[in-house]
Amino acid sequence: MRNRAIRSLGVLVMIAAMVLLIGGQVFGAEKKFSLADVPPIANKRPIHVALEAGGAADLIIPYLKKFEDHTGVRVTSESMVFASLYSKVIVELIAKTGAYDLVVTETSWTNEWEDFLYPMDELAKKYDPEGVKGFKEYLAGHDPGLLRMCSTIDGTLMGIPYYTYTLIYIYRKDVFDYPLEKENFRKRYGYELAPAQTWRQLHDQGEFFTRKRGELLKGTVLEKDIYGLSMMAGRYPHVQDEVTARLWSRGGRWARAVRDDRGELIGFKITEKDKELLQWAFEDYVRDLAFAPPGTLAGYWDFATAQFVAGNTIIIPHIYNSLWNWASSVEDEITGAKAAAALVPGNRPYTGAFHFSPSIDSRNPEAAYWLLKYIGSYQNQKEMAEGGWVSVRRDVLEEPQYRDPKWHRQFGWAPPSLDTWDEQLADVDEYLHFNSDAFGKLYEMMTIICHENAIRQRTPAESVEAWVRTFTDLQTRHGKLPVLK
Amino acid sequence: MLNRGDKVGVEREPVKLRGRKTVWQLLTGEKYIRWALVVPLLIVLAAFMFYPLFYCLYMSFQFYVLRKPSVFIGMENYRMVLHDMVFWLALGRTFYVLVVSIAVELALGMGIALLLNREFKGQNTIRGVCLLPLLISPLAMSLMWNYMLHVQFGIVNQVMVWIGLDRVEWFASPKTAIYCIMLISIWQWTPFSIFVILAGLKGMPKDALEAANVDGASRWFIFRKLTLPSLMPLIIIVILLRTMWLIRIFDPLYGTTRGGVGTELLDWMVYRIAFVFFDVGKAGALAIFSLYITIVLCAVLFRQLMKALGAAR
Repeated sequence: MRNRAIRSLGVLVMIAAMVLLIGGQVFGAEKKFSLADVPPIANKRPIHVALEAGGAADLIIPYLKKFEDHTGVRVTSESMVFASLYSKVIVELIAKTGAYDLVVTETSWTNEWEDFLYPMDELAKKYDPEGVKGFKEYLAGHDPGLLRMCSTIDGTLMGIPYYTYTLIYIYRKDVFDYPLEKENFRKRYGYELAPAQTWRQLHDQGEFFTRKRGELLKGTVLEKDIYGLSMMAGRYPHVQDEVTARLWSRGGRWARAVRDDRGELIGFKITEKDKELLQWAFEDYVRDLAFAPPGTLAGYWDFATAQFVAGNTIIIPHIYNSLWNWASSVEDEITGAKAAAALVPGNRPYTGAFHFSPSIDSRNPEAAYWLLKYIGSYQNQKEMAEGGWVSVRRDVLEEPQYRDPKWHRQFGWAPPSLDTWDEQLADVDEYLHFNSDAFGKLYEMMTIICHENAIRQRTPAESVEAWVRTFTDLQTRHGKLPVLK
Repeated sequence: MLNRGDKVGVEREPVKLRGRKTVWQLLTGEKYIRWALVVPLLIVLAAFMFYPLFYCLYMSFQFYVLRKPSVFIGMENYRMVLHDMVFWLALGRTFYVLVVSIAVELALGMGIALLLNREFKGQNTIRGVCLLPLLISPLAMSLMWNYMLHVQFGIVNQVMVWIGLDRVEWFASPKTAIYCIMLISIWQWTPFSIFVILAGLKGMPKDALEAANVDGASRWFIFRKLTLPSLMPLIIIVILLRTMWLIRIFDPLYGTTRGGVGTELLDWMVYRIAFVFFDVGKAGALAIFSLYITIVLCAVLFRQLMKALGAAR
């Protein structure tokens, strides 16, 4: 009898515990914003959105349609290649045409475009029943570093990130794990073959995997030449991201943000140490190009990734995580191939993102606000990420289920990206990219200088001189803050 | 019935009515009708040519970087342009491209036109094919050449490998990139020279040629002393037009080097400063400078054209 009572008590305790556990999950879980939470929008005027074209960027288009169906506000979009995005959008913004209600903004343009964009808090206060406080809670799932990049130097948030292209290191894991390759590498360089953590190691790996037709790879005779590294040295913005990864990893800066005693930015300065590190970055970049395939000097991300997928290269040492889906398709193209992602050597690569920002000349800022809140929401980012989108929300990427190997092709890029964001957070405030309001122009000239260094039109030392001269001229002519001696 | 002094084919003037003419009568009268017909064109020119031109001239005297208020700075933008080494390099390259392209286009145009001037089977098809490059959008053309010259999958390098040569990264070296830009332009515009010269050859008086043949003149002599002089006005027209177009060359760069690899030409520099840096004042000064050079060159060529026309008569 006594035993029965004890058993009954045990069962009751267990049931109570389960009720508490499940109830806790249901009632205690943080409420995530979703499309269903978008309230009726009074202003039904259609909105027009500027988008980046190509790559995975087009995946967003069906979600614009979902918003349209839910709210009854028509959404049209215009996609343009990255190279012309800046010029096209800024002309419309400056001319106050109101052509775009939402503009896609590269994080490094935020300061430059601040006069043309609505501060997010202002819109939240005006249109969001949950107000600024509710909006801040909504942002909790986003990465603080990326949010800083989407803000002006005084911390005003000008948009919500929706897409990231943090640089990661992608490599052929099957080759790295192959015993004979490991052994040969150890014999030649005296340490284990593993994802490069330093630029010296990357150089060794580039050299080791650059092989001629007829040599062996994984014990098989090569039918074509292969190269160690896929790089992006063409005259496109990506070449400067590759040089920047080297510069930042050693604590160098394109120009240093100088602050006063109160922490306010008062100008920029290129120190002698920065010049020295920049010269090293230029030199190291040229050295590594020796292990990249022909075509690299005119190529950019599509070329670099295609080379990897075709089995022409073994490592893409600094490639945007948004290209993971494509790069990992090497597993479909080459029998036995396995792709994996790791941190870029030195772990200070560019951690850019696009954010949607409402144009100050929008005729329907209300709908613009809700559309960008929806696009950056947990529910939407999760849904898109499962379809191959590079989500910017930490709370999506940190979901434990995505560590399961079955999600390898969709989320293989996520762990190194999260680590990079963590490591980089403290430095973001110091980078020229996120502090100069002339950065759109500086970016163009950085590209030109890095490319001309790559093709050896200038020596690394001349490239440094060219950068100092160009930076001083452009920042003085276009920026609000001075260049300090 | 015609009266004495009336011109044939010209309507007789209506008998003047007493009192003032209506506006309609004035406009349709012989004195004003020519102006009435030209006015729409003048309005379009004023709106889309003269206004932007004078506005550009006005801007070239301002420090005007978009987002900042404009400030009058006199000739400072011109001084900056003239002291900018990049400008002189771009100008030098533009002239180099201009001279080489026109020379090659004329030589090829003359050669092909002489070949096409003969009667042969399938001549219309061949002439049609020769015209094709002119029909392609210049930007599409530059993208197409960008791929054709690609080091890995471009057809040009593929052919080079087949014949035992090494692959070349055409757009990666300043030694080759500028010639690739010229190649794109020449490939597109040689048909223009061909057809202008061909038209000239077709219109040449036959009797002089026949007389020279009868007199036993060599082909080279006939070409040098008869064909070339009579084609000279057309050749100068080709040079004149191509000079104007080549100073503004842009599309071959847009689809390939984007001004990199030592290929920045004058117009690309204007574009970069105007639409990347939004330095409106400096870009205005550059554009005016570019226009000035074009006008001077064209004035010289126009004089030559007038002389050649006089000689041809």
